Amino acid sequence: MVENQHAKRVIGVLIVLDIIVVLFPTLHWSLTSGSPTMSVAYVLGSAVWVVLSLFVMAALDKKQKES
Amino acid sequence: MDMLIGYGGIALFFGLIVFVLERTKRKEVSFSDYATGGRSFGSIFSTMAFVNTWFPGTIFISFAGLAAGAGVIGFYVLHYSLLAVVVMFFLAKPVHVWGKKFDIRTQADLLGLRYNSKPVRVIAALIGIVATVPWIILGMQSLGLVFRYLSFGSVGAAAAIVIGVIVISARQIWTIKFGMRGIVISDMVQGIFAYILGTFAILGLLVWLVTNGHGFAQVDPAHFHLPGPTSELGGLYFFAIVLTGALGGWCWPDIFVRLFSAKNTKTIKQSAVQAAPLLLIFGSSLLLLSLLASSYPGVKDAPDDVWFIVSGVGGVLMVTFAGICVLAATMGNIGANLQALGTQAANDVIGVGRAKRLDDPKSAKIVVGALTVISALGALALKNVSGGLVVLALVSYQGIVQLAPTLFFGIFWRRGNAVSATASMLTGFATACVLQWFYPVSIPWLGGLTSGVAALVVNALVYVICAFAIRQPLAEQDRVKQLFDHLRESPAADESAHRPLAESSVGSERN
Repeated sequence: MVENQHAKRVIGVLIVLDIIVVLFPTLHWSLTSGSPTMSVAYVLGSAVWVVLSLFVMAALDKKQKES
Repeated sequence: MDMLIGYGGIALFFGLIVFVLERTKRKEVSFSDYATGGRSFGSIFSTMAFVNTWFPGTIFISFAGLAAGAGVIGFYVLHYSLLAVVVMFFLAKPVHVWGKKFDIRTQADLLGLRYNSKPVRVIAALIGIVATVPWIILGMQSLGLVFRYLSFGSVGAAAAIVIGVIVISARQIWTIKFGMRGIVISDMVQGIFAYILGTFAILGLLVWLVTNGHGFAQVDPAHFHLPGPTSELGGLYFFAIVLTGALGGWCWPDIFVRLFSAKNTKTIKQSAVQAAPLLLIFGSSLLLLSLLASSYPGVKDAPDDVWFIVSGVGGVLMVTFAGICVLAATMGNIGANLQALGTQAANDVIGVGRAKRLDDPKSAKIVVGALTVISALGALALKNVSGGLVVLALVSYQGIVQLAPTLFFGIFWRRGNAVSATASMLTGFATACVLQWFYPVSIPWLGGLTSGVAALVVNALVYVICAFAIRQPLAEQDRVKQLFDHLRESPAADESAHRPLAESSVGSERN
């Protein structure tokens, strides 16, 4: 039960982080305003982050079901 | 000779799709089978069906063109697509469980069940249909580029559009015949060509560009900026288009119906996990290619042609393959759209009008056929005015996203009711239309928000206010409680066959 709550909380935190990383305007402005490397790193890195976070969510979700 | 290879490649690919469809045909026995493919597909098929519907052929044209012409802002398609996949993961359970238990066939059908309301069902169905038709017409027209390039100068732009419309319309014979089952099976073949073999081709072209003097250093520095607070578009513009894509994506009937064709909740979640890396690898490769190709001769003047221009380095065969990729992606998207709209019109407009739950797929097949003819005629009649159609298509995106509060609040929150759903959809749609008329790109006094996102705020507020202000009768509260209680039942409920409607008071009012 406690483990399930912990998993739910981690999933919730990951969703919030996904939203911040992809949607937060201040990040857009600060990371894509100068260096080409930084801009490309942001647009690709944030996409990679969302995919990795989904993998973690799926693993936690599976664990939740098993317990 | 070049044209023979180009058009011959398209003919061979078309033949392959028809062959696969005819080999796997199965008689659809009921309307539900026709609409959902018998809710029988595993995760691999579901993944490819989702991706082939999500990324239309224009990913190689307009989206690639945006990255080539404007730079990293073009990556917004990748961002909203991946956020939408995260949303898919959480939609899986409620949508599939209710879908299976209450024989739900369409998005509007689900909203009708959740809100126990025919007006909500019909309004949602009509918004979906009205918003989608311009995109089908544009998709058909976009094939003109394929047939123009594959003719290697022998066919003009207008004639190429006519050929494209005829080919894609002919393809719909099998959509009409085989319904969702045919769509999902052909999506697998089309998807392998467009997104898997396509990715290999893209990576090859990327290597060629980088090793032939088209690296980041050659790209215009302005291409690496997203619109900031002092820009003409406004600092919130990128935020607005990503949000619209992520939420609006699930409002399109053809995307949403993917959740009904999967075998169970686990399958949908697996599909989300499999689709994410596929979207990431394919999408980021194509967008990077387009960005780097912005320095390639000819791309600056015609950024939408970037995929074909760069493919030219590989000769006739490479250009032919590039055309097949666009056709494969377009086939998946247009077929899914027509099938979803036809089913939705029959199930949620005609069925509600006749006060009858349709069981024979014949009516859906007739409507899919009629929509194909209307769209094809529209594409031909409007072949010289595609600019106006693009505006209409963009307006329709701001309109379709107005279903989002009704959809997401309805699925994840018990409090909403039919009045909040109807009022929010109508106010949101009207607000979006008015704002779009005055501010077609972004709203300067809202920091660059688009009309759709600004209207979403109004829409969501109306929904929440009505949800709290209007008290539902006890019977309705109890019905909604039972509906949500189904989601807490054991996982076995997810696997079981659906219960006939008559047995359930939760859905007994529906037809």
